[in-house]
This record gives sequence, C-alpha cells and structure tokens, in this order.
Amino acid sequence: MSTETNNSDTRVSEAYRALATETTPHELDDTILKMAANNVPTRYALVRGWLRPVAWAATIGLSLAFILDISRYQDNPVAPAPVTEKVERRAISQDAAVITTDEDIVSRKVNKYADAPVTGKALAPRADSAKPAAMETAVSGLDIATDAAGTLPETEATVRLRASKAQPAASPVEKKEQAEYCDATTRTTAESWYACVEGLKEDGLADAARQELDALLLKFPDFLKPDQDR
Amino acid sequence: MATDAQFMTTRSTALCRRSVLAYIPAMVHTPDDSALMLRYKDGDVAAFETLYRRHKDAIYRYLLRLCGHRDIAEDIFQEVWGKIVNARKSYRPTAKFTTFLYRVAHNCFIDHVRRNKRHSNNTTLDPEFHSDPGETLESSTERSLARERLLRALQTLPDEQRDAFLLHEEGGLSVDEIATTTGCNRETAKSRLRYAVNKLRTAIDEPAEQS
Repeated sequence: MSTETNNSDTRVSEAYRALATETTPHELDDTILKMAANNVPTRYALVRGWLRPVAWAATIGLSLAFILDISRYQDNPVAPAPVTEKVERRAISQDAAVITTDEDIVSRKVNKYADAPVTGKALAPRADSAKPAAMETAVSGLDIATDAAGTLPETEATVRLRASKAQPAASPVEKKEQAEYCDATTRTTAESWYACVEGLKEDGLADAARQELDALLLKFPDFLKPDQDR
Repeated sequence: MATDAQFMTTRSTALCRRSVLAYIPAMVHTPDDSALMLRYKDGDVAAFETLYRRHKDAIYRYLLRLCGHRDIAEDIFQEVWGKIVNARKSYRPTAKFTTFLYRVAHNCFIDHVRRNKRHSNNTTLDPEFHSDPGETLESSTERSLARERLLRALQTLPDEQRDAFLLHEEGGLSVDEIATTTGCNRETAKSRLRYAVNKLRTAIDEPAEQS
C-alpha cells in the first residue's frame, strides 16, 4: 500500500515537474541582483558614517585652540618666548656632523663661563684649555645615550670624544678669570688700564696682555700708546 | 523503424544526462545556502547571486501557482527577495535556509491576499509544453492532456492544499517544514499534502473523455 502511494506520488511529482518549466524574466533577475548589490555597504560607506562627526570635532577643536592661543598672545604681547636649550641627543655612531653640533654646544658653554664676573686676578690658562672640560659636561648626556644603546660600534667620532675627555680640565674659577686680567678699577681710565697691560707683559703673559690691549682699544679707540705719542 | 531508433537514442541521451546531473552535486563542492547567506551578510554579493540563482525559479513557480497571475507573482517575488536582502543583517542559520525562504514567500503571499481581498483563483497561466522531438503524435497528445488535467486540478485545489503541495514539490520541504512554514501542526500539514496528491493523482488517471 505504501509502495503504491509512493509510486502514485512519484507519478504526480513527475507530471508536475514536466508542467513546471517557467523561469524568471531576466529583467526581474537584474533588478533583484542590483538591489542586493546596492544593499551591501561598501568600505567607504562604513567610513562615511563616522567621518563627518570626526571632521566637525577636529575643526571645532582646532578653531578653539587657535582662538585661545591668539587671546593669550594679546594678553602678554611682550612676553618673551621661553628659550630652551636644545641639546640634540643623537647616537654617536651616526657621523661627524653630529659631533660638530655637540662641539657648538660646548663652545656655547665655554662662552657662558667666560662672561661670568671675575673674582680674582689669578693667572689662568686660555679659554681654549677649558674646552675639554665643558665638552665633557656636554657629552655626558651623549654617553648615557650611548650606554643605553649598548652595542653601538666605536667610530672615529667616539674616539675623538674619548680622547678629549681624557685631557685635564680647567676649574670653573679659572674659566671665569680667563676673560678679564685687569680689574674694574684699573679699567676706568685708559692710562691705568694700559699700565695693567704693561704689567702683564712684564709677567710674561703676552696673550693676556694682547687680549687686554684689544679690549682697551675697543673701549677707548682714541687712546694712543706712549710710544705712539712720540 | 528509423523513428524508433531515433527515439531510443534520444531517450538514452536523456537518461545519461540525468544520471550525470544527479552526481554533479556530490562531485562539485557547492556551498551551503546558509553559508552563502552568511557570506552575503559579510558583504559578498557573489554569494547572494549564487543563492538567488539556486532558488529563484522554484520560488517564482511557487508564487506563480499560488497567485495565478504572472504580474502579481513577479511583484510578490520581488518583495520576497527584498525581504531576504533586508534580513541579511539579522540572519542566523538556526533553521534550513529553504524553510526560511519559503516562509517569507508564504507570508508575502498571505499579505498580498489580505491586501487584495478579491483574490481570485482564475489564472491566466500559459504554461509552456515542451514535447519531446522523438515523441509520437499520439503520446504527445496524451501527455499534453494529462498535463492540462493536472494544471486544472492544481488550480481547483484549496489554497492550503495547493500551498502544501507546492512547498513539497518546489521547495522540497518535508511535512515538518511545511508545518513550520505554514504555521500549522504536523498532522494538518500531512493531511493537506495527502489530500492534494490524491486529487492530483485522480486527475491524472482520469480518462481523457471525462476531462
């Protein structure tokens, strides 16, 4: 009975299969496939969702920052900009140009010491001799960077720096005295200043005497030496 | 004699083709419907195209037989696939995709019937009858008459029975799946299907003179 029913079902099914041959029109297929393709969000559409709010927020933020900056500048128009000494901490192993920059820093420090007031008239070596010590101070930061790097290869620049560190350094007092060998009292008049210069010459400090003479001529351009008077 | 030989050749070719076609799904790896739908959910339009081409004709015929009007069937067909496309985001493969698809189609048809109370059973279908070239005139006429009787019987079936039969034939749904799709219990679905098949069988077996 069951087999008979199945056979009958199969016969009905086959008859229906022979009947059902309709297919969808191509226009309908195109319409639906296009609709399906349009419904899928593209990557740009996903970005477009949050792009506009972010753009607005960025614009407002930048505008506020600009306005605040201008108002602050108007409050303190003569306030000097903070000067920060920019020390470049580059790896020593890069090239010699880095060392040139570091040497500039060293010379700047030397000049700073030279501009300091003189506490005595003690004899001191020239400013050039104080350079290695200042260089040591300036380069100490570089040493830290080098140590942190650990395995940097030793280059010519490193060797030069190490050699300069090995030289004896001048004390800060000596550095201050190196600029002015004659005290302020003797510098008040050209004659007394020149007498001080002569004294330096007699002491055998030709460089110091020349330096003081230059300073004297700079301050008193009309001053004539006694031998020039004759 | 020549006609018999030609007929035999055609039949054997058809059988051969049918046997080869039967093994194609096993040989070629075809992705599951749910997998295709999930891929479409992730933005793969090609997956949807595959899914659509797999089911479009069956769904179209199902709606065409239910409505009886080509234009209405096309409208509902478009509505069905629109809902499938929109359901992409919330789709979860909890049930068989075919069940989901035919439930959407069934609901769309019910909505259409409710919208247009004047749903009529009169059809304007013009089914294409493709007769075999090797078929004799007598057998062709007999087959044509049988198909005509089947079509007429199908059109005279009650909506629920026709729905159950079409879901079984076009969608390949089981009794349980028909029950799920149409929202009735299993026994109801089973009896609807049985009544439909019995009526159609009677129509096929009916002598030509009576029809």
